[in-house]
Amino acid sequence: MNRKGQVFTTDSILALTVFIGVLAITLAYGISMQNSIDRNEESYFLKEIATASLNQLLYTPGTPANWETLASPNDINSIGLANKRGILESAKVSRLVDLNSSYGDAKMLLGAGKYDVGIKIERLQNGQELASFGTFGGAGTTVVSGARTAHYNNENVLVRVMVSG
Amino acid sequence: MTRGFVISFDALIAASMVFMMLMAATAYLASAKFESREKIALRQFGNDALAVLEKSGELEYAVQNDRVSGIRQFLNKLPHIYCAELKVYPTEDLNNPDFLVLRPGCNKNFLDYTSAKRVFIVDNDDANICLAEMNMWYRVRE
Repeated sequence: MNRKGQVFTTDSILALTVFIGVLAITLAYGISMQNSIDRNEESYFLKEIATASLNQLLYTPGTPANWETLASPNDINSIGLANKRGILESAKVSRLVDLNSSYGDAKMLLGAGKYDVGIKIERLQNGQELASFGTFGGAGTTVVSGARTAHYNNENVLVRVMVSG
Repeated sequence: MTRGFVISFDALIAASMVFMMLMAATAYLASAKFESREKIALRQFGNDALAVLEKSGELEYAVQNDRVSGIRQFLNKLPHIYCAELKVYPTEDLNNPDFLVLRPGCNKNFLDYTSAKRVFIVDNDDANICLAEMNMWYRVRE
């Protein structure tokens, strides 16, 4: 009997099935891992923004140092609230609240870029809100927040920053 | 006729090794966290808290009057996730603190534990230099 070799034998079908199964599992795992890495990266990046914003607000007077007297946000290079490290200046806080009307420009000056940012100054004693800027919990799927203590108008306060993207 | 088997003993060993390596890699990747980053944030919070306590005069008042109620109140009002312990030492004896204030309800969590220090001056009859040490960690569920 002249038997010719068959490429599509039972063995080949079995091997192909196993191969496709392994390939599918590997692909699914790879995609899942990539999504996880993306989420972590974004969360990491938002935390960086929150920390940098808090440092800028609490440790620097802003640039120029009299930015609170300037009418246009275009003349401001960066926003800071401290006249000394950790001591907030009332006039700068008031001006930051005023900048809610120019939210888009102001968040750029805080280094938030395309992300939404919200800043709250609360009395440490009872959590009463003393000042607020920006939006909290925007449309973004990832939200990170940071908080630090500071001194403002002779009382201890908590400065909260929330960044969402 | 003896037919060849794709899944031979050698292939089984090879597949087992690959599987084990894959599991090890997965376990390693899953354990990666941003722990050092959380510690940096915690230390920054501690440094700022010490700065506020000094500039509001709470540290100096506590040493002068031997009363820690203001510091205790400050620690109690921090956000719930933070646990803190404040020690104040005279600079001539850094082994025995003048006082220690621990936030109530905080079990120590040495996984995320940071320490911030700040030197401050107490204006008594002569200027005394003291060291404040703020140890902070994240609250753990009991």
